[in-house]
Amino acid sequence: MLAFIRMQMKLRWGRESGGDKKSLILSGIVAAVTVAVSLALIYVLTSVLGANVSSGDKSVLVLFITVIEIALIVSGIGMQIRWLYKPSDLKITAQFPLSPFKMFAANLVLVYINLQIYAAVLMIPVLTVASAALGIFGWKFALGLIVAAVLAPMVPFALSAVLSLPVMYMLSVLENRNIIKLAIFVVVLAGFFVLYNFVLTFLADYFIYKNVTDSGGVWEKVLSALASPFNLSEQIGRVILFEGLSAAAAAGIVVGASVLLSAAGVALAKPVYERVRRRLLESGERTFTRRSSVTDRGVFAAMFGHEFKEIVRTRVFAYFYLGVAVATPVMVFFCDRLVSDVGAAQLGEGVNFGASMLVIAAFMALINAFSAASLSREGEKFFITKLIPVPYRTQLLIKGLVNLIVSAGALVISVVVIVSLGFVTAAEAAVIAAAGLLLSCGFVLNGLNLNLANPSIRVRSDGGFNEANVTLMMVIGLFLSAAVGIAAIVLPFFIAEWLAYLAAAAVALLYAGANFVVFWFTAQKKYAAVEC
Amino acid sequence: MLSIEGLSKKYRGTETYSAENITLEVKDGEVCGLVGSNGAGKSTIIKCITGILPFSEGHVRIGGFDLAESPEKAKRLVGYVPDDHTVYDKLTGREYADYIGSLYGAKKERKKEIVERYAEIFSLTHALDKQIGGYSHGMKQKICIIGSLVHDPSLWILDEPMVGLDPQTMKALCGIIRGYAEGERSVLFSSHNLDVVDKVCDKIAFIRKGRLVSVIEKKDMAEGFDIEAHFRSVCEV
Repeated sequence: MLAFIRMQMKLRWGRESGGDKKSLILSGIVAAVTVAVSLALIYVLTSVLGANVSSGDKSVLVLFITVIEIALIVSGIGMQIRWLYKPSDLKITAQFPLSPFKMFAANLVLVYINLQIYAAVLMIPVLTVASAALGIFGWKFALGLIVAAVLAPMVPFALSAVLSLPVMYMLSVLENRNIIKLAIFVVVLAGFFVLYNFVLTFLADYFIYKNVTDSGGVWEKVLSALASPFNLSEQIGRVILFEGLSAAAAAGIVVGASVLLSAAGVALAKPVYERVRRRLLESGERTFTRRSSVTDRGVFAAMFGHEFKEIVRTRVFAYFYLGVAVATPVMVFFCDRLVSDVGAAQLGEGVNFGASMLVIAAFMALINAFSAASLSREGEKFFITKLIPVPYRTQLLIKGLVNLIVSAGALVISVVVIVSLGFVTAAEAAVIAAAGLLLSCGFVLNGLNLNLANPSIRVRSDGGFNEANVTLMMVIGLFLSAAVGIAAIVLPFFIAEWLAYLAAAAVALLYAGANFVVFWFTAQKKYAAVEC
Repeated sequence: MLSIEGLSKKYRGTETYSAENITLEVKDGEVCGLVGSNGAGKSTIIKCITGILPFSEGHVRIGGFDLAESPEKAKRLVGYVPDDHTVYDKLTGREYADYIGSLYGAKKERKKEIVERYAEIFSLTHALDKQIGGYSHGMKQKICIIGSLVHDPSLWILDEPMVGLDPQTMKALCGIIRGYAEGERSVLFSSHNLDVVDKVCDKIAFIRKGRLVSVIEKKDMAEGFDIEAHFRSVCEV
């Protein structure tokens, strides 16, 4: 059993589990920047909350601990489902001389180890920064934090053992109902954005309007509720603050609750595990049956339809591409409202055009970044694209068109939203739509050119891929969007408004034009040279 | 139908040729077998002929069209069955065959007829509307074969088609290969199975370390010719 656990840890976290070096470095940089920005936001939020809440410093810490505990529960549920009930290596591990119970126990140990790592990685930096903002960091706090980081994954582990079963049942009901899953994902994503907007509005209220009394009242109620002794995060907070016997009692409560919940979880999960394991070994992955018919479509229609099917039927593409595109109008509305309010208060109404341009361009960049994996996501089926009697340039243009139609749809709806709500005039909306569309064309073509210059035809079993080009395209796209947006905000203060509009459209046209020229003259040859 | 002249291929980053100076012709109505040990270069040659791999030297002509100068016209005449039977596993069997047929310009009625005929032969009719991701290895192989024939290719190329097939299906496939060539269409396939190659092929090309070391026409084989002995003498070190 120990050897199995060691092997699984090596496969999951060893050298073999990673992508190529460039992809890892780029992902590492993006992760580091994300962490730095997040910690900065936590510092600011803690300072604001700490300055305005009368119920004491611990309640602010409890808020963060609760959020981390919820994140651990969600991760724990996901891990238990993936590693216990949907393991991709079942056909191999089933041959090992381990009884199903030992396999079950070993996988649970792996889940716990993973949660422990997550807990430490999340809790230590977040609570250190939060405590620094509150002015309560010290050696006692540091010691308490380490102990708390050890205790933190216990209850989430136990709860996830119980909750993973109903979640797994629900997921199996939705298994091949891709549209419903996509709709749920969009709703959840939009919900996160509403929450994000709420937090940013609160911060803007504090920093810009100095009007935080009402918000402080809401926060005080939330924090008081979290301070309930039935909230296990409150007990973890006591451990961190090393409140003597109170801390020991709190640790005891956390451990006791974990043991009880874990026992219940294991008792419920073990029979289900054995049944699911047997079913997977006997019948493999669940797939769907769909009555289909032979059609009379041309090459263009066939390829176009095929691209769409592949995106909708592959989880990674559907969620992080289509899902983001569908949620874009909601996200644009909230971002635009915030930026417009803040910007208009500081710089005047004229800032709305530039702010809207910036926000929409940024989302177009994010949606179209996936064009940078157009070749790579074919994976082991890439050879089919070399085999068929369709020019490579045509194949790439069709892929690009699919990307463009999805982002153009999101763009049109977003522009209709902002013009109907009065953030921009009709003329400004037309310019934003034109510039947004041209930028989208540019992003798509830039992505295709990047992928042609550096294809990596490698796909994971879940349909995902390690593609440094997508990350790079996001960076390029966001940088260009920021440049265009900021210029669109600043220029009207120095030149006529119509000239500012023209400048935004001209930059977008130049960007799209340059990438089109590169694509048109190099795509066919570069594609032909790709070996798979 | 297929004319290969001086085909040579070096993979990027290597100094040695994986295929070197290959010259071979497959006439209309001919079945040609490519045999060689593991790693001899059979799959490399096939992938160069089908356009999957770029090659640095030589010419490949299919139906009179040069693969480098008129790639789409040349590829339109080819049907290909890969050795690993990789297909779009998110599609159903019928969707896959329909999609491939559409890319080659096949008409609806003809596609329907071919899909149903071969699905019947391979006992795959019940699975045509199931997602390919749930197929067994053998079923994936069969749907690959159906997909390669759906547009009536003039040149049918198969890379190790017998691997993983049950004896009944193997026999059926041999019959299909022979029947296909009788319609004045050409077949090129690679195999380790010398019995099958001996029975089915009109011409056998022997590959060793990327080079074509021997080509024998069936009509030139003497009575009692021992193909295995010949293979050992030319292909094995």
